[in-house]
Order: sequence, then C-alpha cells, then structure tokens
Amino acid sequence: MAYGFELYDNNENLILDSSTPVKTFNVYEQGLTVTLQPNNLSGNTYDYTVPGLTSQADLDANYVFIRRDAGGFSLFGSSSSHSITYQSTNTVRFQYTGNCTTLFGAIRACTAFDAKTQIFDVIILGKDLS
Amino acid sequence: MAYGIEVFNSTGKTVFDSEHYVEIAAFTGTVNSSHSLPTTKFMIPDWCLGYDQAVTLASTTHAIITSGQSFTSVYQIRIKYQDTGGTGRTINSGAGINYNGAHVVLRSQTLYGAVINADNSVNFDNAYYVYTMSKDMTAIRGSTTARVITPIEVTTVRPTIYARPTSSSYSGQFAGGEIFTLTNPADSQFDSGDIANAYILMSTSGSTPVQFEIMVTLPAYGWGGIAGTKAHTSGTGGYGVQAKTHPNKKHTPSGSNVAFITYDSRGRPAKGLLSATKAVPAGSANNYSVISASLGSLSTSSTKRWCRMDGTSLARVDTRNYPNYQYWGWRYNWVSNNNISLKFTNAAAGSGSVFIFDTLSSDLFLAVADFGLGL
Repeated sequence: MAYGFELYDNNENLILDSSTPVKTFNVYEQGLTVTLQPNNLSGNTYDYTVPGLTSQADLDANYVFIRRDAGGFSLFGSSSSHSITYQSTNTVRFQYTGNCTTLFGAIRACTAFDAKTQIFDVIILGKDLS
Repeated sequence: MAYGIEVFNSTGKTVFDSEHYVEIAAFTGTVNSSHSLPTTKFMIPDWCLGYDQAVTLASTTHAIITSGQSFTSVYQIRIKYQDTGGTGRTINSGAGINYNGAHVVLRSQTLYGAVINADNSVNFDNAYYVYTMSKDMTAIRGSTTARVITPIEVTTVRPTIYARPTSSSYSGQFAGGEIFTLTNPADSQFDSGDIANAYILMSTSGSTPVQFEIMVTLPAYGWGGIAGTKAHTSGTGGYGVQAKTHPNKKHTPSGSNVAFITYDSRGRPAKGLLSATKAVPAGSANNYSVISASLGSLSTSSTKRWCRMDGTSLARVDTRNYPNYQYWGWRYNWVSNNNISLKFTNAAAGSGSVFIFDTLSSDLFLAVADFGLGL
C-alpha cells in the first residue's frame, strides 16, 4: 500500500487495510427505545440526534436503525411501524405510520391504546463524524 | 474530531476513530440448521453479553415457603416476597442464592399468598413467588432455613450475529440469528454455570441440516469489557494499536469509571462489503410474493464472506391459513463466497427468527462483511 494503515495478526494474515474502501460498522447506540402515539394524537413524532448527519441521502447511505423489538400481537388491531426520516442537520425524526383497524380489518380511529414502542440499534457505516 | 486517533479508508470513510465503537468479533463456532424446526442451539457465552462487567449488589435474606403453589420441576422453589427486614423485593433473573452456586432463571408471573384486608389494602406478609433456579432445589425447598439472595447488575450490550455455510459447495437460502434465552434448566444444552443461556438458531431452505459457521461480534466497548484474552482473535496482548475514550464511562450504573475501547488491533473488526436496508415489500398484508433482490457485486476472493443476520431475525406473520401460519422475511441467497444476494420468501415456524405482527415497515439491515484473512 502507498499510504494508510495495515494490520496483520500474528500469522501475518491481513486483518485491516485502510487503502480499501470497506466500511466498518460504528455502533452508535444499542437499545434505543422509541414510543410513539398515533398520528391523530400528540406525541406522534420523536426527534433523535446523530453526529455528522447532513441530508436524507446521507441518512440513507450511512445510518442504519436496526429494529430490535419482537413486536407483538395487538388486541386493538393496530398495525404500525416507525418511519425514520431526515429532519435537520444531525437530527432524524421517528414518526408513527400505519392504520388502526378492528379485529376484522376495518379502519377505525386510533386511540392512546395504539401507541407503539419499538427498539432500535443505531449503526453508522463508517463516515467522518467530526 | 478535536482529539484522538482516526483512520480513514481510501474513499474518506472512517475505518475507526477513538470516539466511536467499531464492531469487533468476540466468539466463533459452528451450528447445524434444518428447515422447519431447528433444534440445535448455538450457545453464546455469558461473557459475550457483558457479564464479565456484572456488579454484585447488596444481598438480602428471604424465608423459604415450604407449602403452597405446586412445583412443576425440581428447579423450582418458593421464596418469600419480603426479606427478613420486611421489605418486598421481586428478585430478577441472574440473582444468586446461597446454595450450590445456583441463580434465578425465571420468576413466576403470579405473586402468591397476598391477602386482601377488610379495608381493601393488601397484606404481603406471607406473599411469595415461585422461582425457577439453575440447579436442583429439592434439597433445600422443604426447609424453612432462610436463604441469602444476591442480585447482580449487568450492562445491556447486545451481540450481533454473522453466519456463513461451512461447506464451500453449499447453495440456498438461510435466515436466523435472533438471540433467544434458554429458560428450561432441564434442556440438554442449558448451562447451569451460565446466567444468560443465550442462543441462536439457523434455518435453511432445504430439508437437510446444514452446518453454519457463526461469528458473534460486539461493539468495541462491550468487547473491551471482556476479561482476559478469551475474545482476542488477531493476536495476544503486549503489542498493537488500541483506541480508547476518555475514562468517564461505566459498564453499569454501579460500576466504576473506565475508558471504553473503541478499536483494538487484537480483535477483528467487521468490515462491510455490501449492505442494504429493506422493509417488507409493499403490498397488502398476507399477500406476499417471493422476491429476489441484489445486494451488489462482490469481487472474487478467497477471504471468507459473512452474512449479518440482523435483517433475517424479524419475520412477518401470514395468518391466512390458521393455525398453519407462514413467516415471510428476507433471507440470504448464498450461491458462493463471491455471489450473495437476497430473497424475500416464506418459511415454516421455528426458523430462528422472531415473528412480528405489525407492518414491519421499519428497515431491516442486511450486509455482507469479512473479518480479514486467516479465518
């Protein structure tokens, strides 16, 4: 290599080479818990700060929010997930998505019982965070 | 960054810096899978879940209740809710008991023996839980001798699972990697010396069991909290590069301040080659079709590629054919070490994923990585 950082193990196997374009996974946070109310109630969004975020394209390319919760069956027929979009520099917004339905699938008005808690791990795919 | 060390790759991406935690391999092994009901568990040792940094909290003494709710196994014991000082305590998993090195595996959902007084207040004087312990309790559960209970406090570090087929000639789809907890002490793979008894299962598209190599990784702060050299995969101590934070971090609230490791050359970092985030494809629930998707191209290499299993650990439930549900999710479509793509398809129950009833529109993370040569 002409520049950079190489790492070998004690059998001279190459472990890491900064001259190649691989990305390491930076674990920014584990177990981020986000509870959102349905969209017809207050508390339906949550803003979260991550370092180095500049745009929606940057969010799509370099930041990963990994769903960790096991979900669960709702007696109230709610069917939702949290959408995650760029809000402003260094800020992403979680928002409640989906409809509330009866047990038979008909759309109904959401209530506070339809609030959803989901858990995420936040990974940054190797970028300058300074 | 204003201080510390940072290494960039050739496209300006950070390989590691001394403020953020690279993911580092901690433990590896093999496990067999099968299509519908994988029964062989890949056990993940406690030290991969932060238990080397567990803090022992103050002990309390509790009476043993010798009659009441029936036991369903030799591992159960009735422990009084109130300690000998009269304070009610729900004892959590992992807490030790002063008998044969046993610890609490499960607490009953029900608090037995509480009495409603005439004024509608609750009398907890004789209340108790039934606890499942890690070892046979029959020698002590018939005696009123009080027992010392010692809780522990553990960090919340969570491993990430990578997998690849052991055989270089394997082709097919596979999924799994959700971390489960084994709570049945009678299970042949239960380790009474292990507190978490965490495990994963793997499933494949074929009917024949397939052996997979498993790599368990941790954020560098969790990796750095492992005692001794058991997680070192690239060499021994005494040389190399280590990046650390300022010494103002704690592994647990009751732990002492330490510097967290953010990178260490004695470990092997996961290096992403391809990655994608995928939601469950659009379309009405319970009406999915098999979809193939690319992750991108891999260069031809003999360095082993590993599939990150996060994105296959959640699956959407198709409830049309009650009670024979199907579970739809993303799976890796492995053709060779140089040809790995994705397939959204269904599987039977018990395939090593957690099943989810919501729309699963939150992204799932799928990636191919390697850990360098020599594995």
